[in-house]
Amino acid sequence: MIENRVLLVEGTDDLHVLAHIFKSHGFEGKIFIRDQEGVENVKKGLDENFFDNLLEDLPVELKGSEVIALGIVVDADFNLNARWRSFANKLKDLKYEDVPDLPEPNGTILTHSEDLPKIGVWLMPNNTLPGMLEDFVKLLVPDEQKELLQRANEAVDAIPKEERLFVTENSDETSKAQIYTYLAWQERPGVPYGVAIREKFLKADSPHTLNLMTWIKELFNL
Amino acid sequence: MSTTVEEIKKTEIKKEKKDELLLDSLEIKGFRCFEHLSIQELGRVNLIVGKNNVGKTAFLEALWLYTSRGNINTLIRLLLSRDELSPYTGQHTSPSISGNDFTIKIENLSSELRNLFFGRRDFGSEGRDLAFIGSKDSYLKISTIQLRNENGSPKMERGPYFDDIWIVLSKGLSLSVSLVENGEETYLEFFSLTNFQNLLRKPLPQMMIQSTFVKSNGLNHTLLARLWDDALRKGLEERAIHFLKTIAEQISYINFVGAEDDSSTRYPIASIQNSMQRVPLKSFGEGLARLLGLSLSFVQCEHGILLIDEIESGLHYSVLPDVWKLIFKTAKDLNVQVFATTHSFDCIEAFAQASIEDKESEGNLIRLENKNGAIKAVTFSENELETVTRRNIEVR
Repeated sequence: MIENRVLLVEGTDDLHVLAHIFKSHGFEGKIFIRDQEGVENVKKGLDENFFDNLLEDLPVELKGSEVIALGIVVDADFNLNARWRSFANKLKDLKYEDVPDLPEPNGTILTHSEDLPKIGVWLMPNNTLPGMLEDFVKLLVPDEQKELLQRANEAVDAIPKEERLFVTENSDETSKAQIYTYLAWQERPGVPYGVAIREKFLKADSPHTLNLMTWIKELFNL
Repeated sequence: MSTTVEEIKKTEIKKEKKDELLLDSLEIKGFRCFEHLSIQELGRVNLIVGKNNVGKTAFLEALWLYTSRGNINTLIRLLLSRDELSPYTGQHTSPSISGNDFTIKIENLSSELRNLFFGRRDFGSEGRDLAFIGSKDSYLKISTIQLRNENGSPKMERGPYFDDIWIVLSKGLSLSVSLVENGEETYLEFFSLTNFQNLLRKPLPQMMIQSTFVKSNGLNHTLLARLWDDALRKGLEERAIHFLKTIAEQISYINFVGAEDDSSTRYPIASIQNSMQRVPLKSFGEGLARLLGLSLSFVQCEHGILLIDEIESGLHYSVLPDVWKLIFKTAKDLNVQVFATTHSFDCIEAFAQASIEDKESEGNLIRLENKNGAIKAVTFSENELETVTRRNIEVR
């Protein structure tokens, strides 16, 4: 019997990070990861609506064929509690059981009262802090390179506030600027996240990744 | 905020469903592999998908039985088409039943009929309900009934006693088919399972629904020729030819030729645009013959139900979008409700696209799946199909 394990992620960066982590843990090709970039362009042309659209389309996603579990990985962004509440309300509407008031620190997994598949939610970076994919990626920096990351952080911080183009009224991408700076100073400067994991500039077996993998394994019965 | 165009459109579609569709929902209980299949909403054009052995063809068979109102000949043809019954050939020395395309032994029929019902249980000696097919307001009920001879007159063990039927003395179990409309039950067929003598002959043409069942191997020449003659009589042959032009633009007209006294020898030939040539349709390949069968069937079941098994068979994937477009349009024009099955992913994609583009007819995707041994249906409305396409969700 075919079992479809579907993981919905925000963008191609998320997709590559997770795909490389899964690969290094021996789960290559077991999980179908789908990013939402193409999806959103077609629908509304607005990236910010990713989350609302995802919630709206969730009932149809859950009807996909032979889906044994559906995982969702999204940024917690500024307000982790608010983000979780939107999820929780939707999941209660869909009759998922025992929806907690706060996300589980090790990733949330919920079962359904009738016959919908299991659903799992992971809020980047770690279900506890506000933030985004890049905050998770920063946690993958190997110990012996922590100092280099610190330098990268300082270099970014040294830019006068008014000159920080990566901070706007609606978004703060400081973490992204820091991690890209860190990657710019590697043996092979400027490789994308996925390659950085393969080249071990980022560690696929840090405690944070292991947490994520425990959640993945339980969710998808692996 | 006032009502948006979108909302008006949705209301109109809903209105259409209630007013015009023969079946706006469907329940199949006890027929073939379906213990209890329930579909809340149907569209004007419905595509049935799913793995092998989940009952896609059985789904169409159930609808065929529904439209033919449980006619005994339909029951027999269903068994014959799956080799559950063999034609009776040679010297007919045993009691038999014949239709215009079959002859079978009665003793075989009574033992094989159970193949049509869930669990294939023997009928036994007590009456019971076998199957229900239809919507909540109008469904077909098939049961066995024990007629008991008490005080010299036959009496029904259960069910309403009706005095307007002619009951002949019959021993043993009888099969009854009735139509239940808004709670009111009308008996349509009633025959002894021992001798298949029909105890009830109530011609009820107003209760019939026009339907055609296009099997995966298409229609035979005799049927094709008959459908063509029907289309000519109705003045709808141009519509059928229009279908063919989606694959072969050069065709300007179709006709049937062959021996006048033998319809089985008549076959379709095509006239080619700006040419005196006449070419047998088959020489264009299987696709055109398939499309001609489809289009003529459409015309045949105006205001009825069209059933197509493996719609993609014989058609190249590149023509599927155009074929679906035409199906949606024709379904609306001729007021036909369509049910088709497919295995092909291209076919599902083309269906979803045509369904979203067509503003008049509602398309519905139905996936049959085996959940812990029971066949269940997962449906996708037209709005959901838009989501499926946009998000690239696997629906097969």
